[in-house]
Amino acid sequence: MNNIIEKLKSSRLAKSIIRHGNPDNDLDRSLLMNNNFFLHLHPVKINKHGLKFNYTFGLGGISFFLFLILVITGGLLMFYYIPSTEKAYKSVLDIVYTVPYGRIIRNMHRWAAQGMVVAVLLHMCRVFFTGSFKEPREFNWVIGVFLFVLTLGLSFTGYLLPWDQLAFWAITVGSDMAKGVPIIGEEVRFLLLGGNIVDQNALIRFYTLHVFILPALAVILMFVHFWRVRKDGGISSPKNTYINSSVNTEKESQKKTYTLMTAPKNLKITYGTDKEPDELVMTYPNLLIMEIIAGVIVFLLLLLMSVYFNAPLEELANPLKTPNPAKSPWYFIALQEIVSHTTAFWGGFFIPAAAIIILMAVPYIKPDHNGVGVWFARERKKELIVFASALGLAILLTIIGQYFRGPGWSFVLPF
Amino acid sequence: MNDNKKESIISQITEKKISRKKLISMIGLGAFSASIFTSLFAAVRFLTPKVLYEPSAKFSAETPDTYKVGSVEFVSEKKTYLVNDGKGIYAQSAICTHLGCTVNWQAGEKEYHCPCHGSKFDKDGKNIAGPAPRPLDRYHLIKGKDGRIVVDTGKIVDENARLT
Ligand code: HEM
Ligand code: FES
Repeated sequence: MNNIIEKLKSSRLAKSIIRHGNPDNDLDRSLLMNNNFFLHLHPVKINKHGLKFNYTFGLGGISFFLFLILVITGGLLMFYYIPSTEKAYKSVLDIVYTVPYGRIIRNMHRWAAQGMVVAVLLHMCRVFFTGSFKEPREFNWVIGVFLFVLTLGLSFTGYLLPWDQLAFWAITVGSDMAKGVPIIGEEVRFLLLGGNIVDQNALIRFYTLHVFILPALAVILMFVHFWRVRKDGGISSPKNTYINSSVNTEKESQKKTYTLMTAPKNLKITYGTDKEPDELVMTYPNLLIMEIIAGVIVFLLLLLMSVYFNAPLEELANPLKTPNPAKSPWYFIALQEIVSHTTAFWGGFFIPAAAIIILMAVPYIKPDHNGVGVWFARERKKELIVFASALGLAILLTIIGQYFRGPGWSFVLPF
Repeated sequence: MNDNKKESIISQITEKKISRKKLISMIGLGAFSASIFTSLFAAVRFLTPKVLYEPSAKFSAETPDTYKVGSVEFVSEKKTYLVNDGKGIYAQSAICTHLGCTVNWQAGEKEYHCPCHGSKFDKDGKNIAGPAPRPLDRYHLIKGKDGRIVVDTGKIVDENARLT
């Protein structure tokens, strides 16, 4: 048996596909990471600090893994789903009740979408609480905020597709919030819906955004995001941090041509520190094993959830009957709670726009290097408290909106 | 050739040459931006349909004598209430002025209630509670050729307009 495997491995065909030896030595391990299109997303070596599970909790990776699951399950759903107001609901019923495993595929798509919103949010919190957005990673944080908005946009556009009561009214309320944009509010809403009411044009627009435009943008930004993690010197750590040095390594390295390839930004960083550079370990097997284990666990949890819990599907959309209460998806419910006390301008435009702009500005507000690579660093106490309070407020509003609001948005107890 | 000499040659070539170069590059850049902007404009225009297959804004209700004094009749598929308050008949929009949910007439309280965020409107459609920023809209209405009332939901009129 072993003999056959050896023979296959040394066949010309196998060698034409995999052009390195067994990854049992550092050279072949490097070649594996470098020569494999998919694996070369990773560097050959990574710093030990970033490998600690309780530093990143693998949240960025889990977000990406959930995105991959969404692409696959979404692609499967597309074989049956029909984006027409007459057929959409029926096709979803078909997927749930007649298509083999259709119910599980649909559930997986729904739960992975919600899981991705949670994972991306937690990932953002981890990056904030460890100070990982500070120089030189400022712009990667900004790209991250775009990814966060895209993740919400993907969830929102997907919400309309089943064309049930929940979908129809959540989008009616959601798109009316666009009227809160000053001056061109009506036009923005018209452009979003392709008309004045949530109807066929709106459905096909949301569908196109959901299955093509937003995922394509997300893929592009994700790869820029990953690329920059590497170019910024890998995952942040207290050692691998940026300190302006008197040695101008950039000028130095301009004299040598080879440094264009071999000296990404991180060399400058390690040169410029007065501390020892981080200890490096091979990506294969250290990181790869962790990724595979995390992936398997996430997949199993998702599968279990999808077998036992069904994604909601209410009755067919009825434009004549507003359900009472009509709630938006949970990740927008904090906004709906604000809107229920104010006008569309505040909840639909000002607060979300201000929140996004402030989030993007975070790395530029206080350009210091305090507490990079450490969870809840003492010297960052003030920033941490501000961020945690904003987060707490959003969570509080979400809980009130989700569990304490009954008919007519009146205050009720959840039990 | 040392650096000093080089510089003097460049300055000898004089501004004329540099400004022509600049002019050409500016024309190029201008043309490039113009093409980008027109393309963007075309894209936005493309996404704004001219013809909509939405239900017509006008609809026929019943004849005026159907609506007795004090009655509030709901035409649900047009999201419009036809009301006779004694001074005449008017068409009241049922679309909440907050975020567009459909308001319900509460005969007991003589109020319109919105199920979405709890806005309330009095019997004249004036906003009296909740986040709604203004009163419910009134639609234009006339008596049609066949004697039935024709409501135009595309035309908003002021609160004193009545069909008498
Ligand atoms: C689609 C959503 C996203 C995906 C798939 C993603 C993926 C990743 C991955 C795989 C990493 C490597 C480290 C880790 O796993 O923690 C990372 C790092 C990073 N992410 Fe994200 N991310 C997303 C959204 C965001 C958001 C919303 C932010 C912040 C607003 C953000 C900011 C950052 C920063 C600054 C780093 C570098 C952290 C460090 O060096 O320690 N990302 N991201
Ligand atoms: S839509 Fe009526 S109160 Fe918000």
